[in-house]
Amino acid sequence: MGMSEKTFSDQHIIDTLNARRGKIISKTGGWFPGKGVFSHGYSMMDDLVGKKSYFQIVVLNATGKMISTEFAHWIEVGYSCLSWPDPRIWCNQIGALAGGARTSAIAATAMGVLATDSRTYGVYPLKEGVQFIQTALASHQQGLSAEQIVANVPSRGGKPLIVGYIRPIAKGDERIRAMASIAEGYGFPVGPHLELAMAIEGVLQEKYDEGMNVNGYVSAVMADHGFSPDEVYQIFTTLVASGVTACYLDTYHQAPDTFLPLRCDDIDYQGVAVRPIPDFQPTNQRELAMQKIALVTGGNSGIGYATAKLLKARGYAVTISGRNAQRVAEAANELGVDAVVADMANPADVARLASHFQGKALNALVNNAGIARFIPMQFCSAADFDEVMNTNVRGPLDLIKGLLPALEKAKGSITNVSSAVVNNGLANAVLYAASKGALEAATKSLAIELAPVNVRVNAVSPGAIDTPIITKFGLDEQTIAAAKAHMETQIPLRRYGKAEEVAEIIAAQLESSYTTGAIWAVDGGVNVT
Amino acid sequence: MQEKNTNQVRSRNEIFAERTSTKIYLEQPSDDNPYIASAAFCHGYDVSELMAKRSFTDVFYLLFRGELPAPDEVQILQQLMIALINPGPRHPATRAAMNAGIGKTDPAHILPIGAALLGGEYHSGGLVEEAMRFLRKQQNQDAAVCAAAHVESSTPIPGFGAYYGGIDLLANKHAAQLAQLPGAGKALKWGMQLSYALEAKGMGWLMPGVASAVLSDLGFQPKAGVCLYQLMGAPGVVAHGLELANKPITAMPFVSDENYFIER
Repeated sequence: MGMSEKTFSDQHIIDTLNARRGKIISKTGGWFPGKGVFSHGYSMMDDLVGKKSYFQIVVLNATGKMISTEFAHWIEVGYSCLSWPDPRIWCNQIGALAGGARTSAIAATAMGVLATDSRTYGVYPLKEGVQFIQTALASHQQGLSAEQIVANVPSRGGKPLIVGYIRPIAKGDERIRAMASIAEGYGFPVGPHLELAMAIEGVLQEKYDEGMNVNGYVSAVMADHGFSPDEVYQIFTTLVASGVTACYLDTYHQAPDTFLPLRCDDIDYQGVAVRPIPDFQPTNQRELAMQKIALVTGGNSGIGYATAKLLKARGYAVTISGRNAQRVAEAANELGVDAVVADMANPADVARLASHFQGKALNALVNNAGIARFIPMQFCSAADFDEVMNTNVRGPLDLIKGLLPALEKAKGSITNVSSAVVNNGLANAVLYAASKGALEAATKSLAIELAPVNVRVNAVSPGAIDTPIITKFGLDEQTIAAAKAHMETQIPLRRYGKAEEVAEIIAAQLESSYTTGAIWAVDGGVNVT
Repeated sequence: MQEKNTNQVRSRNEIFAERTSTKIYLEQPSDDNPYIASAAFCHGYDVSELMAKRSFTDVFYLLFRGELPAPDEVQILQQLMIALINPGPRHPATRAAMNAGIGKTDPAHILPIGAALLGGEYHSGGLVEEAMRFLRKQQNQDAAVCAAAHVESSTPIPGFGAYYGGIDLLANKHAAQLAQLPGAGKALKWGMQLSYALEAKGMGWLMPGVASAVLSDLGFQPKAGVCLYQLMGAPGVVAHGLELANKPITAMPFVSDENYFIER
């Protein structure tokens, strides 16, 4: 996919934007200190303030239209009708809860107002209410009767679903009476929208024992006064504000937590049962099929254990192997991974381990199992030689050989665990160093050999790592402690590494899609001393 | 007005639930006080255990999807969250937060002010639901054909188009980066083709579109789109608002009368 740095921009738009930088161009008004405040062609301080009512100014700002004092009063009565201090109404309850939470009065009121941008109640449905009656009137003028209009709307629960009719919670709407009496008092004529609305209500009353609600009434009257659905919505934006403020103050002055207090079990929990957290849980078959598979030899302790744990956490299905059946089982249980008991020095065990992946795709092989023997050269026996070389060299190479089909299938990656001893030399570690040196040499040649089939082969070279292998050298505790203290002075970072720190590098190496034949040091800087 | 039933207010006696229900969270009451929880479980997982074992992104996904994410899913979600973490100092949401900051508005209000604008329908979260539905519907069609049809009819493509008159390079760069991840799905890859097909017309991915594609591929509900967009962009909006909260009110431009024009 070509990704260009070119924006292919329209120069005209850039020019337009440039011409407007730092400037305000208003189609409404503004304040010019010393000259006056202007709104929709009026001088606010000369023409409006003190001369027009607040609701005349509200309608002016919402629509650009100046309405009569009388009609503004009727709108004000609408606001009054929606200023109830009852916290059961959803927007008002936000106010009441805000009082309990001790927000500011402005935050409470603003948030309650925000809630009326709702599809089911509050201000937003006025848009639909006006739309309905305008459309209905157009059909009516083309000959459709109120009865036919009602018959044509979709129904819910056996009753027609019309915004502005059939009030929720209660039947009947006392607010209509209040507003209508103002309208009658001022002698507002009943326009065609309201006339049709009343006819529709008549149908609903007769057939369903239902009536109009305040939305239907306000929508019809506003439509008769020539306002569009959007304009009506804009005029009534803060319709519920005052009731919200009242509900906020009610709870603000009561003790916190006392507004409709909830016990834990007052919430009806219907979700899944309490469950343990998996390190990784495939959520569907596709992911199961995508899950990568890893084998970590010597995965029951030290670097192998830490690596198995990390790979599992990264989503691999992990198998560990080890010589000691009990320890392998315990580790597998702790890690939640599969286990195979296998001694790398035993060719039959290695073959059996490889056979576990027959026909499968193996994404990652970590040849970590190894033994260390600290024996002065003059005491090295043929048996010692065989044990070290078989476990550290022949076993891992045999295993790779046995797993080649599975590794090829997944275009997998091998990490062999070597040792810093290879490059630095250490007295009495001849057999161990020779075995790891052989493994590193094999790593590089295998990398070349297996590159054509997309199997990568790398090694990590840990320095002094704090793992149980140190205690397996056949040394006493005091000697170990002294050696450890001395060793630390030789490490540039002045401390032993942790198994987890090696595991991170192994995991990174396994995932490094452009790295093969590399030996990565994880040794606190020992490789450069 | 007809007098009959309109003004006689009668309760409908509707059946309301006895208790509010949730599938998300279980608060386990303590032994001696039913109002105090001794443990909380998110979709069944102990929150204490989640704290110890899982990332913020894992638990964010869990909250909305009900299950913990697979590694590829959490990787792409987290990268998306970083891509969206700051709409930038020129986005109206951020500018509103900056206004709140410089105006010494109570800092508690910086977030809701910015978040409300981040829910707008232009270059904001208000586009995400529609864009998610568009991607789900179109992702089996030929992207080039779809692009040509929209260009010809001059109809807007939800989540794609021009920004300031040209291609939004950042949105396109982020989308391309996300599309390389193993967790990239059908909508994101299809969107890459669409944006490529629109390139010569000076159009391409818009940030809400990138969010829509990734969220759609991850299986989030379109209705959640705007909320997730607000959540993901909130940190940057708030940071910019707070940055100005300690500065004098003169530290932001105030348009001079000479540059103020009333056109009527």
